[in-house]
Amino acid sequence: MNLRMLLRIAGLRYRLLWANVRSKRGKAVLFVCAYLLVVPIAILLLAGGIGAGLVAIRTGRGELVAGIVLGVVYLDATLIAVALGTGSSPAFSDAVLRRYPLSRLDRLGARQLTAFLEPVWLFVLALDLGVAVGFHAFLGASSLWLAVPAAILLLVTNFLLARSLSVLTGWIASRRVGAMLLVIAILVLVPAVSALGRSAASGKHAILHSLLPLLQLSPPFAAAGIIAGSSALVSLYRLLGLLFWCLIFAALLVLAERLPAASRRVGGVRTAWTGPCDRVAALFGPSAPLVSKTLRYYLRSNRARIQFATVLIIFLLSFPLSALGNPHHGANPAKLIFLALGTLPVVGWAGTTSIGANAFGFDGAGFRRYLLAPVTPSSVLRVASLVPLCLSALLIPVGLLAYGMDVPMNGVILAMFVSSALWGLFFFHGLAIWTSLLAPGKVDVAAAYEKDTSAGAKVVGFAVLVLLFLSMALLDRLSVTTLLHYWWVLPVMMVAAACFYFASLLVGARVFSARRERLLSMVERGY
Amino acid sequence: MSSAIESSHLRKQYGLITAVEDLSLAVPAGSLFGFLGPNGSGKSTTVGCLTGLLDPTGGEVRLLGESFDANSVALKRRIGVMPENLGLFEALYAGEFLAFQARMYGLDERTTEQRVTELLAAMELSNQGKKPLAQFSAGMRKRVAFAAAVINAPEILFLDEPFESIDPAGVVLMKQWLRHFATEGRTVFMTTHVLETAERLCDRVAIIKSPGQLVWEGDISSLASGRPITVDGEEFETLEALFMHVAGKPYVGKPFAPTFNWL
Repeated sequence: MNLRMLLRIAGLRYRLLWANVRSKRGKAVLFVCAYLLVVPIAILLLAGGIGAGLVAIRTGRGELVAGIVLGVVYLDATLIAVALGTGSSPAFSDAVLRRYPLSRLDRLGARQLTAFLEPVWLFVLALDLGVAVGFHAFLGASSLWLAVPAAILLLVTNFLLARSLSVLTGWIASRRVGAMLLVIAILVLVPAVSALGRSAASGKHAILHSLLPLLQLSPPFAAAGIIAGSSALVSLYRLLGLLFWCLIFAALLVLAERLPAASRRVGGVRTAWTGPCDRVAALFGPSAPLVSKTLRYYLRSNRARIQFATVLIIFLLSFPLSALGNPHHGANPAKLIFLALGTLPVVGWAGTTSIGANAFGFDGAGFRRYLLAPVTPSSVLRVASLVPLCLSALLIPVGLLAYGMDVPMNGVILAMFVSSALWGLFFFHGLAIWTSLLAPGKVDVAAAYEKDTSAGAKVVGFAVLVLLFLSMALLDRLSVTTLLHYWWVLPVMMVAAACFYFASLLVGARVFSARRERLLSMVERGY
Repeated sequence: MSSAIESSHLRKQYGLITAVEDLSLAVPAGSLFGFLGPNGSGKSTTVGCLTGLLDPTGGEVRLLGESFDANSVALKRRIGVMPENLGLFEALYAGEFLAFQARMYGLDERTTEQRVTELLAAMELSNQGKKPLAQFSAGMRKRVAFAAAVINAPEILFLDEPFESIDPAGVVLMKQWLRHFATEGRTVFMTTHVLETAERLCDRVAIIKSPGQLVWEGDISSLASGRPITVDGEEFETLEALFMHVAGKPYVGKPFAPTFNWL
């Protein structure tokens, strides 16, 4: 492998990153991200490791605690990488890299290296190292000489697994029945994981115990064993195990990357330009052509389709079912209220986030049609925002029905549920207007699944996930009585979010006009 | 003859960089107007300013006798543009894109269907079916963009490098369309680097050099009938010779790669 060339490509990636922040504003953004966000978060993550160390001391079950913490991080990182598309940038796609004198192996390495330099993996590294350092500091059982390499190897296996799954998901999604197969897989997997979670939460550890010998072989538990202070020989044995996993996942990635691209049947098919999209769009009057075009973009995006179905299944079916199945939660359906209030705001957003938060990024050169056509900037922006808002809103009644069936419903609770769903809908779509206008990313519509989200969409997606878990954790600390007493907070939040949304549309139209040349450059050329 | 396109003291700056400087043009209605210049001279920027894509830093643009800017929605309905980069929505099929374009310009459903069908047939794209534009070849993409530019039967047609990437048959077809267009009293404003084509097709040309400064404008219809044009006391029998004289001086007389011993 041509290591010198790979390092130059890594350098080029950072030069491109720097090229994007050459302006004063770009440098300011970089400063804020780097110093005001990353550093505190990294400290927070390290503190998390220390916290885990403390819990381990209290419970006296260091290896199990470390295994669970690292396992959750591992699973989360994999899910986030697959869901948010944190693959390498299109600037380092195989087609682009073929221009350079690089062998197939070099190109594969260059793509993985540039993907590895995504910020998400820095967070994961901080988390894994945080656990290693925390356990060393508070238990003193492990040697840092073994724990740190274990954390790094764990990160490498995590990255390779996430990349393999991402590439495989993209490949499956590009098939004719791929999206349906993925939805079926989610339908099977989510209840299985929920059942496991319920079993663990209910204190019936029988399943967990029976799985423990198998889990010991998994990368997070292998690393946990080293971090929690196995003997030197066992630790070396486990390090070899981690190396073995690296090789397995690397081989899986190589195989996934070699899968043939989907082919399309083309000839002899008469084009129909008045389909269901046009009939729905006709309801929007003069904006109909823009609406039908936008609807087609959503319907043809593998990511948008899968996201929509995933939200439907995970948030609206799996969460309520798992809560009911949990003896702690299910015994008191009122607890379901907390779950509903935590998840309903996200329902109105998560299904359309990839395109919604980067509304013009997918248009590419087509963006200039908006500026050339006899249409006002406000109608372009309105359609770009209203289409995902309406699509997301379709999920809300399903969500209300899913939760409403098991909750003792009355007027107050219904008002809280509706307000909760609508505040999320308006707030996140309002936010999406600003990410679309201020941080658009050029996205190649033909790009692979793992490369089709903008940085703005990733940040918003990550923020939504954090908000979801934070709000659920916060709500869980309140009593039902307190919650019902302050029910009016949610309608107020809804009205505030609606005001924010409509103000964003209004002000955003002016920003669109003022920034249209800059937007054109960013969505067409990517800088 | 009245002017279909007028620009007066047009100026476009990007920060400290001037892309177009004090450009005043008058394009007669019904003419086939060639807008020529070396790479980076400001041709596409000028087209951008004339079509509402870019905001001029200074000066005025008038189309069809009316003042024009980015917000002139009614006037935009009367022009057609084939822009630089073509401006295609890559996820749409050819027919869908043309229908989108037609509806954006206010055509009703029946007219849209009729024109889309006819244009797809004329551009030999009828059998492309469910193939996103992202998968079209460069020439096919150009045909789609050309069809999109004419679908609203515009009174002025702006074409940025229309003949690039198109096969010879496509070029012949497009030239026929453009001639027909002009005989119908419509105006064509096109940028091109293919001087032979411009010489045979255009009746007037403007030549600019960087940064967007007009260096020559005039009638070249005599060249097609073999009569030379006199500029600065010199006679030019071809547009290429004229172009090199007024805008191509940096290249003239330079020896090829004098110091490139490695080449």
